[in-house]
Amino acid sequence: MNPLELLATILLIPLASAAIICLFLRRGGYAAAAVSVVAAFGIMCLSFYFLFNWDGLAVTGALPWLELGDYKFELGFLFNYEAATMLAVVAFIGFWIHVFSVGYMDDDKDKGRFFGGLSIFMFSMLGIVLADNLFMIFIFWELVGFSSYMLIAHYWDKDFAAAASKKAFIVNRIGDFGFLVGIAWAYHYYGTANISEITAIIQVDPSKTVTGIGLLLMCGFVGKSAQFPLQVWLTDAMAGPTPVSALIHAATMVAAGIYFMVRIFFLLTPETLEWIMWSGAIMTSFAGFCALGQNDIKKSLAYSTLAHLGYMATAIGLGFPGLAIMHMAMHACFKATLFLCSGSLIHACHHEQDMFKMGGLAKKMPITFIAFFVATLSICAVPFTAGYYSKDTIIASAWGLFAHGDGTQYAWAFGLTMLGALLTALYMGRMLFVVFFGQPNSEKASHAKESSLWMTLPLIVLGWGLSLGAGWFVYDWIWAGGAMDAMLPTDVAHFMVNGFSEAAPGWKGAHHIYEEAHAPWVEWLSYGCIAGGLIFCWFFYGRGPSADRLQTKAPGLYHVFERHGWFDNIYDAYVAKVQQPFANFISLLDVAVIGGLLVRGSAAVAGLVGMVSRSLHVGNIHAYVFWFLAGVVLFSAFALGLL
Amino acid sequence: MNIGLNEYLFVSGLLFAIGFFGVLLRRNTLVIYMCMELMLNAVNLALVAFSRYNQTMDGNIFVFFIITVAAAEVAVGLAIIVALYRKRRSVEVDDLNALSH
Amino acid sequence: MNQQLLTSLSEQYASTNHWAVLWPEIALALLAVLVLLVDLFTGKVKALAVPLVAIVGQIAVLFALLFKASCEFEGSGVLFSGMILPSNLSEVMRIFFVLASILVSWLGMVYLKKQYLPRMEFYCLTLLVTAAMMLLAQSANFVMLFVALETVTIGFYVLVSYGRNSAFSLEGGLKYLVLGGTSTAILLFGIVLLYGIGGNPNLPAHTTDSLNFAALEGFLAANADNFIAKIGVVLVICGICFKIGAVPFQIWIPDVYQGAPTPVTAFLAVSSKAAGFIVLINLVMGPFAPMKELTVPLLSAIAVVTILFGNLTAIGQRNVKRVIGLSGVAHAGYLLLGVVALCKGIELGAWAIIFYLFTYLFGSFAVFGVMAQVAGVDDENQDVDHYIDLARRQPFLAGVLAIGLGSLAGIPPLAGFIGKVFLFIVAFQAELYTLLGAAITGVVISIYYYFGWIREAYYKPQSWPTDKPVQPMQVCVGHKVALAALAIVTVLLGFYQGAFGSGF
Repeated sequence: MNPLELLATILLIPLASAAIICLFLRRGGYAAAAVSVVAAFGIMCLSFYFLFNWDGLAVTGALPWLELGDYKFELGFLFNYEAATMLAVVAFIGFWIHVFSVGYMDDDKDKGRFFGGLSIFMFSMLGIVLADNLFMIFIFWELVGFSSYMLIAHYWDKDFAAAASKKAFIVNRIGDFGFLVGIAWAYHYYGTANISEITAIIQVDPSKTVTGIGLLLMCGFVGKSAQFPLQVWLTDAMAGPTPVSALIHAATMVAAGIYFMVRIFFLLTPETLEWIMWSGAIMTSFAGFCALGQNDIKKSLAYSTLAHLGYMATAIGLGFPGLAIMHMAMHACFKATLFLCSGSLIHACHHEQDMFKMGGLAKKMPITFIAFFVATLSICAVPFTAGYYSKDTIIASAWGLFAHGDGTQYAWAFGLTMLGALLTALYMGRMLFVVFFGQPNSEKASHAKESSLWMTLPLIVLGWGLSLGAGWFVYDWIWAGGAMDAMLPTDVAHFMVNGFSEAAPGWKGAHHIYEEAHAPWVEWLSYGCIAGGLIFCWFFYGRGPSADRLQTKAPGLYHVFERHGWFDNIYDAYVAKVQQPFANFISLLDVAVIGGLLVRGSAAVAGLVGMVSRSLHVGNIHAYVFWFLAGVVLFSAFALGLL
Repeated sequence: MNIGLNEYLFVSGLLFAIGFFGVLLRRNTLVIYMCMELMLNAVNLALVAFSRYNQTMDGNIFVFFIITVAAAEVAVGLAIIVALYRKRRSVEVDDLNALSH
Repeated sequence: MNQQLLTSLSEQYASTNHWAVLWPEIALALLAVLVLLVDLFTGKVKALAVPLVAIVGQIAVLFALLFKASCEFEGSGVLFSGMILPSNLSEVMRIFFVLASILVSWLGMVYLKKQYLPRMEFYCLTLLVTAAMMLLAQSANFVMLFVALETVTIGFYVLVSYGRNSAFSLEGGLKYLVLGGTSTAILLFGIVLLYGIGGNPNLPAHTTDSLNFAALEGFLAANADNFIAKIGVVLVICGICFKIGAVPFQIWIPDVYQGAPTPVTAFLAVSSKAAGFIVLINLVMGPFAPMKELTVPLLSAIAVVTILFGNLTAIGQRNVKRVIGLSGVAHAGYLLLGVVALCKGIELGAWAIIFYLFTYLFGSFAVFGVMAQVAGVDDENQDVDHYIDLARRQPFLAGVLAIGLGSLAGIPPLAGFIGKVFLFIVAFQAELYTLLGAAITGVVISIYYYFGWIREAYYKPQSWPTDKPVQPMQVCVGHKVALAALAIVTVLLGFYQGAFGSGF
């Protein structure tokens, strides 16, 4: 089997699984779950088989799809370093989340729909990872969107789930519109939508990058990765089942925006990069504040996801795409863990999601607690955990660039991301102490039991293992005498460390920039932030409180955080005040213009008034013949040059 | 007085317009139907006039086809109108707006 | 003397009458006669025998067309004294019309089962109308065009008012009759003007055969600025706009679609529209080609308004037949993109249109198939509300509906999406950027009402009264197979268009 066929097989496995579930197992229950999990296992095995046998050279090629005269549409693949990294993340984490889902969804009646949706998602996500041209990426982009709405609306009998799904749909349309325009422009400008071909064009003539194209393509990223100002949908999307939140809305789909920006990194001009940097850096601290104002454990984590997507965006904006991908991979590990832990908690507490109704769960659910604890350390970037290597490097390299004299905007980026790190420690500490320490605050929590093996096994693998150790494979020292190299394909690690090239470096380049700045205090400051934040939480929120102390002490401030800057209200107002009147205006136009124009004149038209005022299709033959008259007159006038 | 092509075309145009506005303005479906036939006959007149002027026979032949088709149309149309009358007890245009909006 | 006349006639005129070329049309007409006879001579099994004969016969014609899809005639290409001019396009359209006709007959079975109506005439008329459409696609002379078109139209007058127990069906029929008759008169007036001016001995390049497409093209090339000719062209376009349902001649569509029996609605929506487009393609590639200066801006304007009108008005509708009708108006607008591109010399446009028509055929019939199953006895009253919770009552129908509507909306990877991509590509090649913008806006709007319909079927069970037990609908296996086939083809065409994509 040649590499291309192998990739096509990996892509088609989940499609086949989805088809089987849709056709035969719609009410299949565990059978559907089994098909889906086996498919995910197959994807994981084949992906790693492929990765370990990969020679590190980009795999490109196409399978013919459709032809129209000179136009050929092909199912093209472009497999290189960043695709390898993303494939490893999607395949590995995807499989474990599938396993977790079996346990989590055990009491759900609609397993067929859920696992079918997961398979469709895996298919479309792998499509984005492997596609080699912008049009195909867009198609799969829409498909992940579709599977995401479908899964958000899994509990469709609840109003908020349906509303959240609709919101995600609408907000993403806005981003996708810009994205589509960007693709059209790129196609028009470069004469091709193939990423490799555009890369070649730009390598020959670097001046052929256009800020506008980059910014428009960035719209797609802003929508999918829920960046400012389209961030509103992600927290509502938490209405979906928790494994979905872990897989789609934390680890992979929302990171697809980052992945896409890395993929087209060569297209981005310095101006675009600066935009991305600003958008990301602001998000790191803005979302951090919002996370402090949520009682729902999943929503709080969702804001944390936004903040960390902000870090990735900042890394891209700083010019370290490899580092962004590395943070994406590390984030996927610890954030998936955190979501799965929250899933385990929610499941144990009978779908109670309010943190302040939990409390004291460390003793009852030790495996979940340890996984959550490790992931918390990792997300806070405590040294030698996974998050440390990527997150800390992003913050430090921002300072490095400033010290290097590249501009004051980097100092701002540094400040904002550092504030983001402090906030991370605060909201994570809050969550950890509130949920696991002290005494249970509700009936449900006091009866909580550790979850089944289906759920704890993924927690052990992802939480105890990867959240702690994922960074070690990347770091510059050979761990365990090189024996552990085989744990992560070297080429994947290679990309994270080195990036594409000198011009677009990864971890090593970023770290180097920081070391050149000779500012060890940066590192100490971030340790201080972590320790300070956690200690502050320990005393401020206390162990297992039943109410948020910030809410009682400073309700005004809390309210600002809770409403996350009233973005939702602004959008709602927009729909009510602008969109709705516009629709009304159009219908008025129908009535006024058509009616108004035709009404004057002969008595014969008089009968038309009442009819036109209601609608155009009045049901009266005479009115219809008037359209014909108007058509004949208009067309003839046009032919005679009067119009 | 010499009657040429233009005069024929004028009459034909006039007939067509009368037919069209008849369809547009008359309330009784049967009358509307007659007006439609009037339009077809306006076309026939123009065809014959053109045929004569251009010295080609196609126009005259075409007229026969139109007459045939018009006859078929009348047969079908009247059947529909009669059936509708039985159902609704009216053939007035204003009463025929059950299908609307 | 008589002998001499006969000989001269047969040598001059009848010598080009290669009847074998018209075998599919003749076969369909004979089939219609056969259906009549079957109806006469079968007793109680009539209800089964008549549709069976009609459908099996048509399938036989379809296979014959597919496997012997070429008209083998010798000579210079002049057939029936220039009345008929088969082309690759018309060959494909023959297949299209037979396919549509088979599906209409199948829907007719579903519909007639629920009604107290005579059966035989329905199949008979469907067959004859289909044969006339095939002739329409090949006509190369305005006389032929007119006669074929009127055969189609008169057939439709009867078909639309077929549900004679229903005042709605009759009213729809009458509306179609009056508006159709008026549009025919307009079309005829245009033809007459073209005939008169084309044969005018005082003008350069005048021709003695000005009803013939090729001869007229020669004349118009020399007299593109003649104002009578321009009016003639515009009036002919008006007449065709009625057929395809383009603004402002689209106004009859919702009422007639609602009143007509569901299979006839499908027939109107798919075949009648396609017939209009094939005529338009033949005209803009043939006689009207020299009038580019006039047709391109005119058709562009019509396309933009049609797309926007169709989509915007469809949003507010609740009756699914009206929704389909108005969305069909929008589809006509998208197809006009291809026609405009064709006017501008992008030959590929014709094939893009044909491919789109095929995707439209499969998508529409999938939807109509479901509609025919869901519809009650009062056929004109098909509200979106009737689809509430369809996914639970009859998941299979809901699935087919979703695929059909998804294809009509142009959701990847279904066939409709690829059809739109093809059309947009040719529009892009023709540099019709404004039209592309309007079309994309239209597609975005259309998602709203298509998905509104799907949502009713899938996501809105609360409003279903809980005390009312869920009644699973009965759909027999044969219908399920047909529906599944339509859905599968719709999906497959999205992935593989080999015959369409590369064959052209």
